[in-house]
Amino acid sequence: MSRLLLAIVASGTVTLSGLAGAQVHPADRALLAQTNLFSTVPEQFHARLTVNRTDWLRPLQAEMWRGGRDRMLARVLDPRQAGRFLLQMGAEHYLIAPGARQPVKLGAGVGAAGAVSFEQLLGLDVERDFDIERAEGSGRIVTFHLVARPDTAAARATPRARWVVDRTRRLPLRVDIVLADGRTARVVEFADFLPGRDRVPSRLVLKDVLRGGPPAIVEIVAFEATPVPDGLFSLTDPAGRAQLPPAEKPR
Amino acid sequence: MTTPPVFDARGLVKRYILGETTVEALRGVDLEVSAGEVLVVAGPSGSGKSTLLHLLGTLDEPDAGSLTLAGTATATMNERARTLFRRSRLGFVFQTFNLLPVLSAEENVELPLWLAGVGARERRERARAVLAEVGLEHRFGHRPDQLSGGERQRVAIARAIVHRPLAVLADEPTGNLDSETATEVMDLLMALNRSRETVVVVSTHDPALIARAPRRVVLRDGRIAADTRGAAA
Amino acid sequence: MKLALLALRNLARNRRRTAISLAVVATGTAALLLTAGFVAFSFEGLSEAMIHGGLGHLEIARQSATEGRTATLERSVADGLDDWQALQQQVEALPGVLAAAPTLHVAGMASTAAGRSAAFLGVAGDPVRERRMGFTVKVRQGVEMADAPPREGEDQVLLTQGLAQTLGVGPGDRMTLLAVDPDGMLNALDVTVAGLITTGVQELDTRYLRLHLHSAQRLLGTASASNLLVTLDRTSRTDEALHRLRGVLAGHQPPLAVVPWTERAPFYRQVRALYRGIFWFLGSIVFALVVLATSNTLAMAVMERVRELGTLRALGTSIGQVAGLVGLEALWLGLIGGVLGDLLGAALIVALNWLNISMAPPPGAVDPIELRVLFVPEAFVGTILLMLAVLALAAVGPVLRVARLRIVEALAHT
Repeated sequence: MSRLLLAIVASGTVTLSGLAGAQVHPADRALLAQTNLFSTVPEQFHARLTVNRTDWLRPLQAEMWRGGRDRMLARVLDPRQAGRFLLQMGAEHYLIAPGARQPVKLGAGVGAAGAVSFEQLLGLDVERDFDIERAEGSGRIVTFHLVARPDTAAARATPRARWVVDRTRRLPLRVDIVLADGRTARVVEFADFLPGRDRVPSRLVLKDVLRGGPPAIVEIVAFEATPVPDGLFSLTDPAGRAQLPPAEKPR
Repeated sequence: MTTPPVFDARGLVKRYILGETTVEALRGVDLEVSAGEVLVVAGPSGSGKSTLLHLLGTLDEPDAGSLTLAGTATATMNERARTLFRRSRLGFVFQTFNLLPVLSAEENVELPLWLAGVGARERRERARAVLAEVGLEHRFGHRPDQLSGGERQRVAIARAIVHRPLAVLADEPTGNLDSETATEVMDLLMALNRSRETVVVVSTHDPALIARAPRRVVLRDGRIAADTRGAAA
Repeated sequence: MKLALLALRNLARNRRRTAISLAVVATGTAALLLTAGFVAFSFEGLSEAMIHGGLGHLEIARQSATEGRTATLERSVADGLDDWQALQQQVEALPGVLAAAPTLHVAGMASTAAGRSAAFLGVAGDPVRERRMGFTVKVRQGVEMADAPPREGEDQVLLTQGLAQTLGVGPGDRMTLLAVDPDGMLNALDVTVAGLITTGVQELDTRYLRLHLHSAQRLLGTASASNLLVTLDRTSRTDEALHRLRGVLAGHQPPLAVVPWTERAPFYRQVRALYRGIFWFLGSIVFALVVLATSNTLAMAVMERVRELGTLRALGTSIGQVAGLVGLEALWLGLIGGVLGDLLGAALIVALNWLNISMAPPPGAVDPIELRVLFVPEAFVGTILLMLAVLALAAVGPVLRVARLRIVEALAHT
């Protein structure tokens, strides 16, 4: 079973008219903003994480850098994977490999299904890319039914989503990635948050509802808010990434 | 102990259904033929001559009456027994000779011996001897279509006697022959009867032949109208 | 004088009718022989095409990689052979083995700088060994792959024409292959298109590409091979070699499977089943035609000889013997017609092969094929047996008629 769940799924384009949230209560809109991890998590950080599944022989060790609201670079900590990176620029995903001179742009399905991407760590940029269709739940748990803004990359990859939050703790609990036809494709559960940094998730459970299989558990083992050099994210010049230390496996 | 008659028929009846009418070919025929006899069955066409010969030859079964052949009642014989009886005890001569066209004279004569399981060499010797007896020693290898009518009937007669049957049944054997040849054939049958003591039953309506027969049975409308012995008047 | 001889003589009586019957039987026999010869040619052509098109005679792979999978391109590299080089040496030392070539199967996405992409099924191998094994690649444009292991950055591919068309590339163009390595990680490799090829199978020509073993190993980050393909000096030795190899490789850890090419070619089996069906269909038509034509002839022959058959019965011939006579005549027709048909068929086969006729590509194939009809010894014997059976069937009616004959009526028959 591929760890990256190589899925060459053609994501249908959906064109939904702007559902300006006229009916949405301002308090709900504020709650959505407060739980948007894209905003609350520092825009510059370096983290190390493990991804594991019950059917894998050993967990996967990875590290990632965030350099801006929606730029991310990740690599697997394994000498055999040396020189390979996954680069995310907004909704675009690229594979950087030593055998390929140029970064290889990945289809939306391949990128989003990767074990290391924003979706798996921060969910979706629910403020910037989505409109609220409606909000449900008057108690502690509130579910936002979201529709991707038309003509955006998000609309192609994730036409719809359900964003489930804990109103009391002002934290997201879960995001359901919903296809245009209404089927739930994937679920990301925010199981735990870093102590002291209550807006940075430390443990996530990823479920592939469409294809089944055991869930993947992502754990943040190190997190450091630190400036990240721009050169790491260059699509044309690999020099910045070449200066990174070798991708050794941690002890 | 006295030898049973070769043919002992009592009240033989035979009917044929032709369309919607039933024709009684034989209406109660009693006939006894002893060993060594020559018998001519005479009568006009349709008088039942052929039918009587068929019954005597076990080629057909009577509708009533009984027939005993050399002491065995035909009513007790099944199809196979009748076939075996014909094979070993009877010889047949037909008006149209009925030789197998693909076989030579010699092979035609061998046929009854082959059916009796006689070995090839003996078959050949006996067939040739009989053919010589009927005056055809120069015609062994000829096919029927290479022989004259009289020669064909001689081959047929040789075929009928080669296995030394009790009786030879000849149904209008001279019907297809000119009178001179017919006389020759009849003489031959009588000569064979004398030399072999074989019963010969000949059906015919040829007055010349009838006149020469030692015993004459005249059929009329399925019944025996006369049964006379001795030279005809 | 035997019954059989008498039956044979009876056949000679109506020469014209017998000749027509024999012609029917012989034509039917020849038609079946030609069909069998063509089917055999198709099977042989297809099997050689499959063996030398990339299946080899035998495949050695990990047991776990073969379980539940039959298709050609489904061997996962994660289940590959790490010690393929040692195995190769061991296998190539066996008698009758031409070569044992490693192949590596790789599936993924191919993409171009222009943003076009398509899924591919790749088979990587060693060009030198494959040449020795008689593997043929039909290069339609460009050149074959270089024999030597490519250096980094100089990897080449041979693309099937349909795939090249989808990607909008031709010989000399560059593109990137994307695949998942045995660890489940994506990797990418830039390659240059050396040439365009055809597999001979339309379906495959939209997805298939070939590359050097070293290139595929680079893309997948492995030194393993998916399997070893073994080619023999003769296809007929496949079973023998299969058993020997299984013996030699028994006890290997991890356990290995030796798979004959027929098990890996469902297409071949389907075509075989289809052709068999066609053959049997044609066979039944011929069967029916010959039965109809000859039963009529036999019935006429009986009708004409009713008095003769009656005479035979009067003389003491049993029902079985008379019926046997008619049956034997039928069997003679079958035997003589069958032998004549064999001779006619052989002559036609020689003539057709001499004509060198070219035929349109069969379904699913790309190239026209040259018509050949093979001599199938079993068919030469089989058709004669079949014709005996056909005539026996045709004789059933006439024989029953003879068995039911009433002597008195038969003697009166004119």
